[in-house]
Amino acid sequence: MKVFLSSISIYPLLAMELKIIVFNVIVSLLENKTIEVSDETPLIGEGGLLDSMKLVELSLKLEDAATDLGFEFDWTSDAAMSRSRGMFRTAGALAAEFIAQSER
Amino acid sequence: MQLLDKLAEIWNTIDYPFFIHNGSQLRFQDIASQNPIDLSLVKSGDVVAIIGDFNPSSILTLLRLIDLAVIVIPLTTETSNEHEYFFESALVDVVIKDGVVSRRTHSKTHELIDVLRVNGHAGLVLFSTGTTGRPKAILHDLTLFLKRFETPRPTLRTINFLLFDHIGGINTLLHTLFNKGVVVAPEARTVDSVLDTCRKYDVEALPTTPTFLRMMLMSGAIPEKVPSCLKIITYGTERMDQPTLDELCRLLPVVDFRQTFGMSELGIVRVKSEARDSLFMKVGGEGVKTKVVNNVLQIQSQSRMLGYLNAPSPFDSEGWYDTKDVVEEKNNYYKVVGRESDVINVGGLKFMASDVELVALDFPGVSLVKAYPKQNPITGQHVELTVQPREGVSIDKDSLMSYMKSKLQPHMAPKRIKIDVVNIGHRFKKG
Repeated sequence: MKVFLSSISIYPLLAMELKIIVFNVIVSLLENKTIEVSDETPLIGEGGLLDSMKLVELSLKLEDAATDLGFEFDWTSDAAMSRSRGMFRTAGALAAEFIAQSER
Repeated sequence: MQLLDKLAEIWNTIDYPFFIHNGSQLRFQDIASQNPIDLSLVKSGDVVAIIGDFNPSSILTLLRLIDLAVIVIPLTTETSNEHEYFFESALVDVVIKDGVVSRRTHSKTHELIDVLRVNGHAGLVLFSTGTTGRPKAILHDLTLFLKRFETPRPTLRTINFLLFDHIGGINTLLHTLFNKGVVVAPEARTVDSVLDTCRKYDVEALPTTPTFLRMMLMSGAIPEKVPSCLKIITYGTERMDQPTLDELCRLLPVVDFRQTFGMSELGIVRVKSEARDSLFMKVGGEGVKTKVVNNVLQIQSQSRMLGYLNAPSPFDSEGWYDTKDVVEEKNNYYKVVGRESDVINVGGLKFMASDVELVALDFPGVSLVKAYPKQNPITGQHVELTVQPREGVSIDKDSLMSYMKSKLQPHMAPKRIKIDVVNIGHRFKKG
């Protein structure tokens, strides 16, 4: 598996670690483990890697990971959804949301 | 004729015990002639909560209360944290506990209780174990309820596994009393204790729940520890699954398995299993009609409750009660496949929680499971699963998840698995 951290400079080290976690979780859900995940990798929509069931699974895994790390990853509340409707579009967007919630 | 007098007449020439409890074998005359508690504070038409169990003192007090034409509420100590709520919602006037009678003061009235008072009828209040909202206070006209026992019916020596606060328990007690039967109370509600009691007292019928039967299977008690005197095992109050029934039938080839079906709201309805290994049953009896609307069973019953004391009536204008049980129908036989509320809808694809549970139960080391829907903003709902391993066994969540995915369609596969205790209520139903 290759993970491209194209925005490393934007985030402190912890953010980079969180991003790796998100990307690793995405890869763990793919049939083809050799797919390279980058910020721009689409999760849903055209060329998306995940169907709705996998997306739910991904969100729950991130919820569990966040709990282990000591914060809450909220993806179910109306507020969370309206705040970040686009968070599932790309791997980078999801990682950014995950990191943002860790800092709240 | 008063109930106690009627029963005394029935038991007048009988020399065997009607009730076996904690090693004591009691004849009806022994129970009737016990030192009764002072009920002088209780008036006809009072709502009386009696906290007890199937012991001689509670039974005698219960019968005496019926003769006093009170509205009686049998309760057990297992639900003591909810007693105050029960007292409030059922407008309780008197509480009897440990032989002590105490009055409560309140200024509330209820039209259904007033109807019983005007008619001089005794009443019975049972609380629902509903999973939505607080328990509902179900009021029956006990004078009408007792009429069903006027037709003599055969009895078997029965262990009364059901509880004092449950319609099945009360029904078994009254059926035995009216039909010269024998009830045996288990010393403890554990698999070993129940089976020991059956063996010791030649019990012929064991009324129980699917959860308890699964625990019997898992404990390894079947078949070696099941005594040969046991002829019939009845199961009800929650959904049974076919693999468990098949396994029970295979291991206990001479035991007859019969399904029961009842709702406190409807009184007791008569049920006939299609076969010992079939989950299909015919629901009927005097004054009972059935129909299926959108796969959900509806029942009309003459022995239905008067109504709830703390909720609106659940009956429609023609008296039909929506059981919320999703059924399959075959030649007028019904098989309950789940509760309407158990229907899980994932992205528009519907299935039953039991479909998921059945697969999980086949995974090595699994003892109990509970599948349930969780809301999410992506597919509306998804399934999560709580799994309780057998004692001394550890289950790898990832392996179980892979197994579930290999056996189920993607929308039915649980999206999260928790290894935890699956709660079983005091009625041996999964919480």
